Amino acid sequence: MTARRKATYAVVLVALAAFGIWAANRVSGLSEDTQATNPLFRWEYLFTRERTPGELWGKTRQHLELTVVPVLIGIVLSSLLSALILRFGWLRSVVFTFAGVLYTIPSIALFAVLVTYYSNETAAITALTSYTLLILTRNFVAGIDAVPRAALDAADGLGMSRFQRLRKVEIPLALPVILTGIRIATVTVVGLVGISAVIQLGGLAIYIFDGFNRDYTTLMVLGTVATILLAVVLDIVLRGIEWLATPWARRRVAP
Amino acid sequence: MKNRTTTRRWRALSLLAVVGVLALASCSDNKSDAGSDGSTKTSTGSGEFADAIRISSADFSEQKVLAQVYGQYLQDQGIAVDIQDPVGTREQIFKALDDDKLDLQLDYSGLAVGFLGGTPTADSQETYDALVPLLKDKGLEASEQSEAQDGDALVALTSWAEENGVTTISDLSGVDGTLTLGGAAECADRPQCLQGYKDTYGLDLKFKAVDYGPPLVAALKADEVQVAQYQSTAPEISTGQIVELTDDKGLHVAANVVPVFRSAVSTPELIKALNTISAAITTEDLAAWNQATDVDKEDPTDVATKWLQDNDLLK
Amino acid sequence: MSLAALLATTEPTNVWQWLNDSSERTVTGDIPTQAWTTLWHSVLAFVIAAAAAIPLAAVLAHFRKAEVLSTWLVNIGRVIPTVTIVAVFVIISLRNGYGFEPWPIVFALVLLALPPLYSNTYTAVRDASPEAVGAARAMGLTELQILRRVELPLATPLILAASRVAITQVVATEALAALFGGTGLGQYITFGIANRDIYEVQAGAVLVAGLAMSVDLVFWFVTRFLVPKPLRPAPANRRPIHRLRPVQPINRNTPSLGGTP
Repeated sequence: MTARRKATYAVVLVALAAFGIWAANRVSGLSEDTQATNPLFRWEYLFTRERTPGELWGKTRQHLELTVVPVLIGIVLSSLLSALILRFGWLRSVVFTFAGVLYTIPSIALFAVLVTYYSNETAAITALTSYTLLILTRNFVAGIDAVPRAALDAADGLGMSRFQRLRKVEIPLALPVILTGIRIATVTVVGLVGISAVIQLGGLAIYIFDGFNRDYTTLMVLGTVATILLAVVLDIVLRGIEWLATPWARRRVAP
Repeated sequence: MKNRTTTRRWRALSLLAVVGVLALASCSDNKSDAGSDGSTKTSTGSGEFADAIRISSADFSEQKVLAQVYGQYLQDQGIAVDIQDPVGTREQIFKALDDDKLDLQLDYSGLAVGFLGGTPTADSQETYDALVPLLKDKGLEASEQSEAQDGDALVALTSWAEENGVTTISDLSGVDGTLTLGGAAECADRPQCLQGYKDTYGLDLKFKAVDYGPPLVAALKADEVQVAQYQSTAPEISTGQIVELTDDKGLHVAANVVPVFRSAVSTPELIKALNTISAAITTEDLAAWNQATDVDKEDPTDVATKWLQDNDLLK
Repeated sequence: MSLAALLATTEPTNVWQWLNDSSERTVTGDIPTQAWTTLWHSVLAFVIAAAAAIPLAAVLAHFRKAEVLSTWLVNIGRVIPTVTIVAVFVIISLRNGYGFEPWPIVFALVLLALPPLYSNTYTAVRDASPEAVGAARAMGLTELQILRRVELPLATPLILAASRVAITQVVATEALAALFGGTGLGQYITFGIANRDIYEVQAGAVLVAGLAMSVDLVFWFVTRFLVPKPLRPAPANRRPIHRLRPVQPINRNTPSLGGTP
């Protein structure tokens, strides 16, 4: 990217941001005197209030736990499912339909139903894991399917066993798509964790619900920005892993 | 040129590092979390919660302040407590008490009686006397109730009430058009709420579920609802934005603040401490707390500490 | 006297009884009304998103512009949780006198549907058979004619597939409106949680999932009728199966001269 184009993008971004802030203040419908007592964002909540860093970190940790654990379990389960699909081709439509159905069940409902049988955390993790299944299985299978036939034939020609071929040829070549799937699943789960607030969890989204209930927009802004930041950070970290793990595929893989 | 070993090492290291960081972050003890409104989980002892009395509350500001006030005082008196995040609605709280997940909560006498299947009245003493045996059936006890009350109040915007000439609930039947009642989702099933207005006042109200608290007032202002089931200590009443409609047919019941706890944790020290606080709280205090949390956006924890200090209750 | 004694003996004991008993819904509203609310919120959001995304993506893809924007848009769309958007917009909407519905949820759903629609349309138009496009150019068609007559029809299967996925997700996510004072099928779920009526929650889940799958089915029909046979994606079972045993190496005894054995 040329310096000029970078400059253009930067100017456009700054202009958009400024417009956004002005529009937010306009659109939030606040009169002058309420601006004083109930501003859109109280900076002192974030910077001077003592308890804020601890609370923020505590919620981030809970949010992370509710993201990482379901994704990890999802990876294990999806690997199993993908292996089964690759072996028994007819399972493909069955598994995808089932996972697709799980995906359409609204998360609030799944949380609320599961919590009557399990504890809050177990219910949340189970529900979130089920949402990762569709994304991960789809990407795992697509990744392995996309391995060029020529590479498979070459592996067979070299006399590799089935498992050697899987380990040395198919998985490495499928890695970009697999890692992309993990990245998409992670970012999706970060967004869904918030809904577990209905069962008294919720991570960073507690700020959003609390702010809504108390008409305290500072909390809502804080929660929104923190959640988005967390998702962006995880996205970047996973892209980094993707880049490191596949040195032969160092081109931009379309998301 | 990187050879295969270097690449492998890089890969392994980076994966390990990230997984390690994430695992460390997520597997830590969640118990030291604090609620976003600053309601801290206090405890004495070496981080063990086994003997601590678990206090929780419903999910609105006044309840959070009450939990903090009682909790901080108990802790100051040397009783181990664990003030937890709000559980939710009364239905969820009682289930938690049943399941031994919770020890103490601050309820409102008449509303609890109604929930447990009894018949509350507008008389505080009668209602309390009805409450005790109902609680005993569930293995719960109540200490003395406070004179502070926070009952249901049917409110409307002051401007709307003036326009339509409404000062009592019965006046509502004279207003044209369908009226919508706003309230928490639980209101739909509760006898003093939607059903009560139909049975006692003959009002056929539509219902809209809105989160209990400032969103209700916002809904009133937006004319999404014309009347709302709110609390009698709401700060917007004292500022004059909304007005409570007089309950001329006596639907609303006495609702004194009363600590409800499991008999298993009942000790004379606990009861004495609870009674001290209950005697000190007044209805004006409740209204002042709501003003502080909902309008001035202060933390329930701070509001509680300040009140305890102002009343010389902390050592 | 316990709460159970208060409740009538005709309380439903499973979700199907709850669904059958219409007296359960005197407060939350009957199923057809709520289903219709959910449906029209979703369809409106989808139509707005499609009208905004598809033409823009098609044109930009044809002229090969703003490719980076596509990937960025998808990323940003994924990263912002819908719950947040609904909450923020409900507050904004209330303060400006627009009420709880429909604009906050419709707006949030539009933002949900935009990224996949935009990016899939972009990819589909960009990757539409280069030979066909080249031939069309050689025949003297203008750029816009190429877009309209060659690229878009070739891209239709993918765009329809993406639309199907998008609208299904939109319908399933519409339930969130009930969390912040909205109506629709999600209301059964939130009322059920608040009143601890597990069958109401399950019923809400069944209804939302059912509606989403019905919409999915409708779009599947639409796709089958609109997409001509040659353009349909190859069925999955035509893929090469993964053999259990490696293929036998070709004739080890013949020296590899490269000629036919």
